[in-house]
Amino acid sequence: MSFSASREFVLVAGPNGAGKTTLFLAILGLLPHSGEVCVGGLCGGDRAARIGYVPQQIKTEINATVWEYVYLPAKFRKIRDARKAAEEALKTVDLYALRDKPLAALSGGQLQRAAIARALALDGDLLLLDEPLANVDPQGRVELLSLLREIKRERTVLMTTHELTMPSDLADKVLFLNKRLIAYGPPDEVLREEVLSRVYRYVRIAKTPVGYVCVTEDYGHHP
Amino acid sequence: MSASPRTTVTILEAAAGASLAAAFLHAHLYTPLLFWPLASLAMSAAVVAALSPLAVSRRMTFLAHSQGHTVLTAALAAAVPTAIFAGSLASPLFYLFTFVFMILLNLLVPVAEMLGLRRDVATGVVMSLQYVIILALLYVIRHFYAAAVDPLLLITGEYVLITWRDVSTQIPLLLLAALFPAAYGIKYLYASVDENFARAVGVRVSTLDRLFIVSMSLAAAASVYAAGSLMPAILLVLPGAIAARYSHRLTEQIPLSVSVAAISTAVSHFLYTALPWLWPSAALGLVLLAFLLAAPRRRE
Repeated sequence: MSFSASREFVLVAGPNGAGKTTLFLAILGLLPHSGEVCVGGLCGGDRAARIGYVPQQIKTEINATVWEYVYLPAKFRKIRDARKAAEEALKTVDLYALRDKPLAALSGGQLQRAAIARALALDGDLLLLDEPLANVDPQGRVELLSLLREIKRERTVLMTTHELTMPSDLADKVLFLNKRLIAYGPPDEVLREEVLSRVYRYVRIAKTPVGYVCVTEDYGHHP
Repeated sequence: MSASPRTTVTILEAAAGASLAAAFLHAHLYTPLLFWPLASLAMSAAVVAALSPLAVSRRMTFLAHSQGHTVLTAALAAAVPTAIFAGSLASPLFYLFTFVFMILLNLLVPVAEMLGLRRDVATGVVMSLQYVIILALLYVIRHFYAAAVDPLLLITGEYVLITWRDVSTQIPLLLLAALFPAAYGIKYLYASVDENFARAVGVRVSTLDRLFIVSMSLAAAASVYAAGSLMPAILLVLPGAIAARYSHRLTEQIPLSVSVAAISTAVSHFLYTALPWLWPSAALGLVLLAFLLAAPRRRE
């Protein structure tokens, strides 16, 4: 597959097992891959220094405060003034007041925001968000989407999801995967029945005044 | 009203310094024969305990516990060439052979994994092999080297026979073992929080895993003469587990674990002088267990 993005919000969509997380791990250089991945002009292993990453699963059973979770990676990566970067990142996601709390004390939405703050503190050109909306309640989802709108102004963001219902102003482009690249382009071009039907059965999508709404048909009605 | 976690940590760290100072002063004034044994046990406990949060956080407690078998096998194996070349176990050769055998035995785990066994199964298989070697060596030693080596002392530790010479042999080995938690402890603990992320920010997790095993082997080998073969396994697990209950801060885990081990060593010294039938390493284990039971339940 081949695609490029510059200061855009790209939604990486596709069914479970489509290779979304695998794509991220390859971009991060954590999986062997053929071809070339370049971020901010860096194409070797050092490109990881330009990437902030929000994983799908966030472990909370380990002892660490919110501050340590966000600050330590910036320190490991020798970010200039890592302390200030961590402070600003925590303020951006509105978790600064909770910085001394243990990770385990955070709600699902707060955990996702902490993971985003950790990625922001690394000050990368590219932000990879792996299913940040999974395991978040509707209120947390609204808060996260509002935060993502802020973030996307300053850097390229790739966000995986298998959830196609979303606000119309969130993504600049949609990368639709199913083991390979199915389609890449503006949401209006990709989120269409003709494209989705190449991967999904019984799934319909409609554009409403507030965004895209994805519904599944009752497959029991189909032979 | 209960003390906040931070206050508890400060109290524990201060108590560690004060209790050790009291124990050393007591040993110096009233039980001079126990001064160097206490020094040896305190150093061993502190260094092994510094590695404990790493074993606990990286979910290596099974591997850490297997070190009890590994160090006993290695010490028994080391006793044979040491008895041949040095005549007694009070020789730097014993530490060297023990360390070399420990590394070799630990390397057997990845070798067993190459046979297609899962890591926990491979560790179990190597432990089983070690039991066989222990049984064989116990009889070899009793038959050929009974005059130079008492196998029971490899399990309990020589303790009361420890002199400055032993301590001076231990110091460089323990310092080497302490380098890993001092230099990479925080990075290694963070790898437990999120291994992929740690790798993405440049933490070489696989290399740290190997260095951890080398440090663990070195610390256990350096401790076996004083503390016996079972104590390193206990010290690799309990102090880290206790520290995790006293603080939710990643950066406090290692100092807290060391403090807990230091307090327990000091208390075990007093227990041993009051109850001479209670061997110091056993007393140390009992104090650690009491610490664990007294630790506050983690409130999330």
